[in-house]
Amino acid sequence: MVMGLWAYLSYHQSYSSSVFPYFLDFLKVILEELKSGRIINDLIASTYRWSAGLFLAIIFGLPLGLVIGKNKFAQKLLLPYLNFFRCLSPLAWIPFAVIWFGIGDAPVIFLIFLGCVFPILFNTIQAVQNVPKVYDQLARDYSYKQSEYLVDILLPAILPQVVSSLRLMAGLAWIVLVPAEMLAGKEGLGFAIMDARNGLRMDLLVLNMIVIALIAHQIDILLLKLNQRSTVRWGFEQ
Amino acid sequence: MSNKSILTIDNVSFSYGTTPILRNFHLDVKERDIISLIGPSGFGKTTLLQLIAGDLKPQSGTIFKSGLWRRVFQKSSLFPWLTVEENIKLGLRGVESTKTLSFETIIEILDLGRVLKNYPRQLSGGQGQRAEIARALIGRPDGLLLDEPFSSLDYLIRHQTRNYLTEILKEFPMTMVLVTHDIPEAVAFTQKTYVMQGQPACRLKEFINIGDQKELTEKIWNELEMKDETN
Repeated sequence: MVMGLWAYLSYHQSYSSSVFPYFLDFLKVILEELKSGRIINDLIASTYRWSAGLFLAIIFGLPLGLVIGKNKFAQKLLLPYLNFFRCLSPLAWIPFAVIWFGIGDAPVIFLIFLGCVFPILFNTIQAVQNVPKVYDQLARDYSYKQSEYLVDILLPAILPQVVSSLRLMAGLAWIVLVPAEMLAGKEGLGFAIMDARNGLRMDLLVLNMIVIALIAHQIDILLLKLNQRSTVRWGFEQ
Repeated sequence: MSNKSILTIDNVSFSYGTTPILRNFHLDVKERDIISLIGPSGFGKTTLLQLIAGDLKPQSGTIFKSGLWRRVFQKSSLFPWLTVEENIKLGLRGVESTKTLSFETIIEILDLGRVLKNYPRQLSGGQGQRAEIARALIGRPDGLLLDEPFSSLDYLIRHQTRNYLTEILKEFPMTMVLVTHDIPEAVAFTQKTYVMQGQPACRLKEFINIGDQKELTEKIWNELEMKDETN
């Protein structure tokens, strides 16, 4: 319906194309971009940075969350510092990211990592603290080794909450990616938006916006399905 | 019943911070004794069970227990990500396979055959509690600790579950320590009832559960009331 309205208004030239692209121009730019392959390259670059940043946040945040969640001493020692850094917007690190890593993949991955590591870390800490005490008693009664406790009890017990936070992080990573690529990238969907704006190519700008929204939305649907599956099976929902 | 002690709590004291719970507490349980510990809420019944199980360490005194001990908890402790069958088979961990009860036997006695492939959330309260009992018993323990295991069940299911457990204990005798605040349950289900007395708990009054159950229940009840008045 929105598309139809857009097509109708632009067909009658009800507004200026410098404010918002005409529908036909938008269709043309899709073909142009597919033909040149630029949008595919940007998409690959952005998806790579998105997944790398997210992956690093998980492999750093999850184990640290497990340790802090289980260890009162680590909570006392680390939580004040982690809470301090958590309150900083990851975008505030852009100048440092560029100075430390230059322009390209690394600063963007670093910024996505900073945006995602705190949600996974704090969600894991909370999930570990919410694990029923009776599971620890069972582990003792049934002689679980530490590694068995981790793999067979703790990780399955926190999985629904971790998957939930993964969904939150996936969305957050796209939100961080766009401004990060605008300022610290030389390709990618965020950079393409900035480039389109500089060239006053509103059609290209809208195309890149739509691609980001579509990809982020599809990933969100996938994670929601995964989240629902694990949540239902673990018994939090009927 | 034999004369060999399987569980001895000797002069045990325990406090939570500055709140004393048990003081110079003593209890001796013989092999194949089936006993219950009664006391009002907050008198340290669950703490005592946690001390016996090893979750807590006594601040003074010693606890000796021999053989394999398992317990059934007040709240559901089945792992929700495992099926009923997988949950029950956890009870075989660390036990020699020649000593265990047969899986089929325990499933048959506890009538769990139809729900083996189900997840815990798909079980009724009674089925869930029977699955917990099955997990505790499949390794054929020497002793069983029960922490108000029927308190979350309604009257009929509670009665039925107790009967299932009685049947198992008849067929496979073992020592059992039941912690409860339900006097009729203690009288009907166990051979001896111990009333925890003193605050902090420091002595036990023993009742042999034979004779008229109603009269005995009243006697124990009076003992609890007397204790409340004296404290």
